Amino acid sequence: MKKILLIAVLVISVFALAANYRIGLSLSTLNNPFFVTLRDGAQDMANKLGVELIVADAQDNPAKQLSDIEDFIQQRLNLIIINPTDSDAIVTAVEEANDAFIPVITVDRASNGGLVVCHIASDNVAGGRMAGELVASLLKGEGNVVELEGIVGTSAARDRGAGFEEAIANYPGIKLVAKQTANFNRAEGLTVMENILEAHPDIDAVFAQNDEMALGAIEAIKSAGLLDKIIVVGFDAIDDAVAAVQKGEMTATIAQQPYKMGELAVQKAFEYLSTQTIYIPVDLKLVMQE
Amino acid sequence: MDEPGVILKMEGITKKFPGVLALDKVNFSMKKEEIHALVGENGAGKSTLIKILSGVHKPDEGKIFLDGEYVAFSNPIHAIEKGISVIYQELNLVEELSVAENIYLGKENRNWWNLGKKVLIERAEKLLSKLNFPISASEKVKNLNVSEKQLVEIAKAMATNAKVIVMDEPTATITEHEAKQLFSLMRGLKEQGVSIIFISHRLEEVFEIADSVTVLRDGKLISTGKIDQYDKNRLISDVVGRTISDMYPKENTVTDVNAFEVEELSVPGYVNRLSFNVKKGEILGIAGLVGCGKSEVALAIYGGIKAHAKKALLDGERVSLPTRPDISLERGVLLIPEDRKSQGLVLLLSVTKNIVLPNTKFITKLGHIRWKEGRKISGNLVKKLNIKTPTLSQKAENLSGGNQQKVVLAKGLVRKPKLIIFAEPTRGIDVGAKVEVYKLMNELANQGVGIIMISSELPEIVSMSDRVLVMHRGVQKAILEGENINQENIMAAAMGG
Amino acid sequence: MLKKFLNLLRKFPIILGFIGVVVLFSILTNRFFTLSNFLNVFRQISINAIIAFGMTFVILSGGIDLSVGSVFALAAVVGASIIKGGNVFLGSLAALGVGAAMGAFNGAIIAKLKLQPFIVTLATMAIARSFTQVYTQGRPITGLPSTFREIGRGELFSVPVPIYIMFAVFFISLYILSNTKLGLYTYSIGGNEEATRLSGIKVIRYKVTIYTISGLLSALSALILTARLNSAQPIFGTGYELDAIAAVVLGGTSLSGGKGTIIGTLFGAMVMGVINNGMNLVNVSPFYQQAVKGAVILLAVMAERSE
Repeated sequence: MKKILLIAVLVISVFALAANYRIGLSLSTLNNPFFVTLRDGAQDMANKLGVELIVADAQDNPAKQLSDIEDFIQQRLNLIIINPTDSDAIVTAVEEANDAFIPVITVDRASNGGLVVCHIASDNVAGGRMAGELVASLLKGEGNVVELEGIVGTSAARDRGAGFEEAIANYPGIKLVAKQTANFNRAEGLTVMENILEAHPDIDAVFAQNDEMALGAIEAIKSAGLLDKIIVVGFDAIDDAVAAVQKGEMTATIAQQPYKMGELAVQKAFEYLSTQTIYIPVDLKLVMQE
Repeated sequence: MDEPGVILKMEGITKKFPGVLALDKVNFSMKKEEIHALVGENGAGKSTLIKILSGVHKPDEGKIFLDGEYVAFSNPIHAIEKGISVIYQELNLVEELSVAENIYLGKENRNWWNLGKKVLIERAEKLLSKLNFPISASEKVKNLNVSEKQLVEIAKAMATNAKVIVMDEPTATITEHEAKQLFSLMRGLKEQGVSIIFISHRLEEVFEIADSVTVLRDGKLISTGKIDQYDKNRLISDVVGRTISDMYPKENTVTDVNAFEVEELSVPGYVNRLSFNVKKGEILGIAGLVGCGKSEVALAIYGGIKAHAKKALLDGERVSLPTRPDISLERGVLLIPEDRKSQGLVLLLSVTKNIVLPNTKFITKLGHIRWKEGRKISGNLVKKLNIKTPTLSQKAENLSGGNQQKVVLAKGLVRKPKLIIFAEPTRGIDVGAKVEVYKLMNELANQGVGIIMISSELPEIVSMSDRVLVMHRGVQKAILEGENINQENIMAAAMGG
Repeated sequence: MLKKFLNLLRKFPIILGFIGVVVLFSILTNRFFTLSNFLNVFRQISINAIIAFGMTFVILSGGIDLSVGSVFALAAVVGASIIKGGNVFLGSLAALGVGAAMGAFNGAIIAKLKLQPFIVTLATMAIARSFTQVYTQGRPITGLPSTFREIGRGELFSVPVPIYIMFAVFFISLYILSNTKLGLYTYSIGGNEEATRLSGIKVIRYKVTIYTISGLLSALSALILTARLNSAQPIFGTGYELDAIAAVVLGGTSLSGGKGTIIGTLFGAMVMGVINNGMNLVNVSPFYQQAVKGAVILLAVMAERSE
């Protein structure tokens, strides 16, 4: 009886202690399913660990993100997880948290300054390279390739493009015939791909820097009746894209595992509040039809 | 071009607007340190001449010499820099700023905002006391009355070392007492070396204050000279160009049946318990100073603003006061609004579309407008009212003031009216068009329509009305009839006497 | 004949601009001036053009509707969620209903409370976007029945269905603006609201109607895009208000109201669509594309002014 009571007290006190942790999660946007999934991962882990997670959506606006984080600092949260809208613009916010002695963890995009406990991200350059290698091998080193770029100037667009182009550069038979932006947006992926198909009906493969654009491009390719001729590779492995891969419409998508990133961020935050941790990369994974 | 003593000379000024020759080779010359009255009917070309002088318009032909020097102003700021300031009827002040800030707003010292407020106020006080103006430099402009605001405008002009100040009807919106004060200040300015162009419709004032006179009519120079070369009769015949009986044809017959009757009409904040009636065939004039509430009476009867009345009778039937204009239109009550540009017309639309606008129900089936019928209706009215327009699809903005006013009248004539409210029916239109408007009023009255004419122009009130209701600060001060209708009685009542 | 054409050009300088960009891209690439590319461009234009037709009504009446993009998204997700459940007709109706209701709400607030359309629709733009996110929890709604998808994907005599819809809306708008009371009042309210009111016209009622048309047409456009993409996305329509306003203004409609035409708007939308298409065809670097679009808008507006 005494033993049981002791265990009960212990369990309760652990939970009570855990519940005392209040962690802020400042997301760049919730307008993109990728980050919605990331938030879900973080929320589920927080529930499991019994920590309170406070989520803010910066709506892709660095100014709003700064004030979101300042609000977190005012609330004296134990730790802040930041998914920066921009690696440079976030430095001020990180430094403000540093000044208030609140530890910071960054997710997906890094901060270019300030002190960060750890950074959790997948490697976009490696992902782009992975896509390039896949396309090159499926085309057996020969063919016309199109690249759909994300929002010009974002690090994701830069890194994924760099990796992809670096990979295909090793194959002289692979020609990059068009590189146009569709702003990470499905509707624009559709129109831009339609236009490119008018200019180049002889395309063999498309690499879209995210799945939204890839799914838009697939609609364009479908109405042109070229679905079985053109390889489409996306990035992010959002639900729609995974479904498209299963259906055989999309050839492959590079999985960033946002859910895992969210989970890991909260888990590491929880760990850090007693110990210290280091840089933990989240592996990339290729999703293809079985 | 150097004539001794002449500060300003305008030579052969011609200005055309679409459809109108606003100025036709007009010469104007004034001496240093004189008050020169510029008189003429509305539409005679005074305001165009002033706008050319102040750089708002460019003349099509003609030259301006200031102090013997040829000048061509590209914009109003340029004119102000050269020493010509215009004080318009609509004053141009920033209500929330102080008198001193308004005087020096955007002037002289390129970085006046660096001046401490105190320095600014001191400078303004000095200027105001030199001019002998009884206002405080630190007062906010919104706390001043109209005549005090005028003084701020004058001080503003003096702060730029104006050589010529133009005053556009400065006495139209102030009391007689205030006007007397203004005149003595004007004489003071003259002694300080300023020349003043004074525009007024009140001929008595011209004789009281002016040293010289220039008369314009229909865009032409009629006469100019020292004031002592004129007497009242010559000035009137120069201004009007014909005798008064021609100007105001009056041939309506009043019946004894009431067209409209209202008891205790009130508009919160403007009109307080006004009761009157107008008979079929009668022209009831409503007179009073600016702000006395007469404009609001017009809108209230028509349903254009919120109002209430104890009782209203239209054509002998008890009616509630209309809450919307469409109710009035259905009843046969029409308003010719006082400001044709902001209330009467859609300037961007054609003559036909303007005429059809309140009358779509006559040519519409299930929302579809039969434009052929619309053009027929407007074509007939254009002919009937002698509207001068090249085509029915001409935009209203391209017509002259008189023709625009006729389009406003035409809008009302598609229906069979019982009561028409004419608000400032001849404001800013030329003499010929005025007479046509009066003739139309007679014609309508003789068809049994009751007519309410609300006007600030005393001659037209005196000559055209069968009875005159005079208002002062929202209340009825007098109803004048027959012999009692004259300018003196109306002014006395309008001043609150 | 030639004179008539020249007169038309003088009245609508945007037509000259349209011919200009068409000639330019035809020279730059032989892939541009083909039937298949024209059908392609018109299908793409339909989305913006239909919103812009609604916007033309609003701007002619002296207003502005910044909420069209967000209303577009809300209508899309509400419609798609019902359509996905199997009821295509009901879902489409619901989408149009949502659009019309949002428009009517805008119109009622603007007209009844006499508030600035800019600020009212800026507010509803945020509200509608928020509703969209709440409704979808930030996730796209995907996988719609193929009967519905015909609205976007289908063809009739080898011409895509969205092109028919666009021209139907165009001709109906043209008729309304030139031959109905609603059209006359739209112009007169924009030209002089007070004079229109004093002419006995129920200005409030017509303003509500005008904004309702704008909301309804953005919902219609949303259905087309949803059908084409087989997906309704919560981020749909971001920035569409600016594209629509640009098309209207390019077409010579005055932002201060009372002056403009629906034909101009059609050509305005076509110029914007052709520029997008042409730059993709020629593979212009994305870094320059925004500047090109901005420059075209500036040029067109300047040409308009010098008229």
